[in-house]
Amino acid sequence: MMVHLDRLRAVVRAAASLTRRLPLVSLLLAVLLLLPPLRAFGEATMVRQMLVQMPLIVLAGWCAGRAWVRAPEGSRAARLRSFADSFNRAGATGIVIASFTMILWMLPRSLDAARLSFGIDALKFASLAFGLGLPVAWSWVRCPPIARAVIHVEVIATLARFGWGFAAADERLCASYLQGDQERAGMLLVAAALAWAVVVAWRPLFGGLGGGKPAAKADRRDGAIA
Amino acid sequence: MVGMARTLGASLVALAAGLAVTWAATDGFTAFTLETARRAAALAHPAPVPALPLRFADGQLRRLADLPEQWLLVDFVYTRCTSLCLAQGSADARTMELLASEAAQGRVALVSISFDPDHDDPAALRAFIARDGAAPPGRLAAAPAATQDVARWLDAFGVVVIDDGAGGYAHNEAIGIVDPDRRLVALIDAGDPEAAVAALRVRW
Repeated sequence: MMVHLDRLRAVVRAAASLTRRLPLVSLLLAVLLLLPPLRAFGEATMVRQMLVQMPLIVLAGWCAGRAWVRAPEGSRAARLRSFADSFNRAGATGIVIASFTMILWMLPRSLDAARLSFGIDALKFASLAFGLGLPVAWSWVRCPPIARAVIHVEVIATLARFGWGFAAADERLCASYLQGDQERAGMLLVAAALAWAVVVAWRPLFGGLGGGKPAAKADRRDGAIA
Repeated sequence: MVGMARTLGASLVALAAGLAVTWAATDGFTAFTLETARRAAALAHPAPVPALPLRFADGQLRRLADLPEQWLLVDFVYTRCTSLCLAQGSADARTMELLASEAAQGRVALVSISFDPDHDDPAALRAFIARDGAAPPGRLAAAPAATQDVARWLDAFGVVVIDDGAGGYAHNEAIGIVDPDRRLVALIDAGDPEAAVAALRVRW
C-alpha cells in the first residue's frame, strides 16, 4: 500500500513539475511537430494544417509568453520584459505584430508555401509561436477592456471572412489541397468564428459559469509558473 | 510618457514591417495564391525549361530544345486520368484545331508531358494523343526519360501534383507557352484554348 502511495506521489510530483515546465514542453512539442513524419501528417490536409497544427504552434508560443509575463521579479527574463514593456503600452505593439502574423499565415499562398518548402515551414513555426502566440500572451494582460473587445471582433471577423472565402471559392485556391478539403476547412473556420463569438458573448450576456473575473485573474503576476 | 512615445514608435515600426512582409509575400498585394504567383512569375521572369531528355510517343529520346517547332505549348498529364483530364483532352483537341495551319507548317507543337513515366510508356502516350483516330500534326506526348526527373519538370512549370483520394492525381492545370529560346514565357488557363492561342499569336 505504502509503495503504491509513494508511486502515486511521484507521479503527481512529476506531473506538477511538467506543468511548471509547460512552456518548455509545449515549445518542444512545436519542434517535434516540425519533424518530417509529424509535419507530413499535420499538413496532409488543409483542415489539419489550419485547424490543428497551426493552433498547436500558437498555443506553444502562448505558453512561452505566459511564462515570460510571469517570470519572477529580478530574473533576467523579467528585466528584459520590463524593458520590452515600455515599448508595448496597452499591448498595442504586440497586437499589431500578432494581427499581421495571423492574417499572413491564413493566405492560401502561405499554406501552399509552408506545405511545399521546409524552410518556409520552419519560418511559419517560428513566427506563429513568437510572432502570434507569444505577443498575445504578453500583450493581452496589458490591453484595456475596450481594446480586448475590438480584438475579439477582429478575430471573429477574420476567421469568418477567410472561412467563407475558402468555403465559397469555386476553384482550388491551394495547389496542395483538394477542393472538398478546402470547403471543409472553410466551414470549420466559420464554425470556429461562431464558437468564438458565443464564448466571448456568453459571460456579458448570461453571466459566468462559476469562476472569477478573467481580467483580474490575468493581471496577477505572482510568478506562480516559472 | 516615455512609454507612450516608445510604444507609438514601436507600433509604427511593427505596422511598417507587417505591411512590408505582406507586400513581399503577395507580390505587392496581387498574388494571394500560388497559381497567380506562378503565372505572374512566368510573365515577369521567363525561365529556361529543363534540358532533360524526354521519351516521346514514337519511342525516341529528345529534349524540348531538339524539337524543330519554333513555339511549344506544354501541359502536364497522366494518361490513366479519367475525370478532369477528359475536359483537358478536349481542350487540347480544340487548341490543335485552332492552330491547325501553323501546326501543319511546323511552327508550333502541343506537347503533353506525363508526370507518371512509370506507367506512361510510348504505347500509352500514343493511345493518349490519338484518342480520336490519328494524332494531328504537331500533337506530341512525352514522359521524362528518368523517373527522378519528374520533380524537376513539375518544379520548372510550377505544377503541384497531389493524390486525389480516389486512386488518381489532382494538379493545377495550365498550358505553358515555351518560346523559340525554350523559355517558359506564359501560363494560360488549361480550359481556355482560345486564350492560349491568342497569347501565342501576340508573341510570334
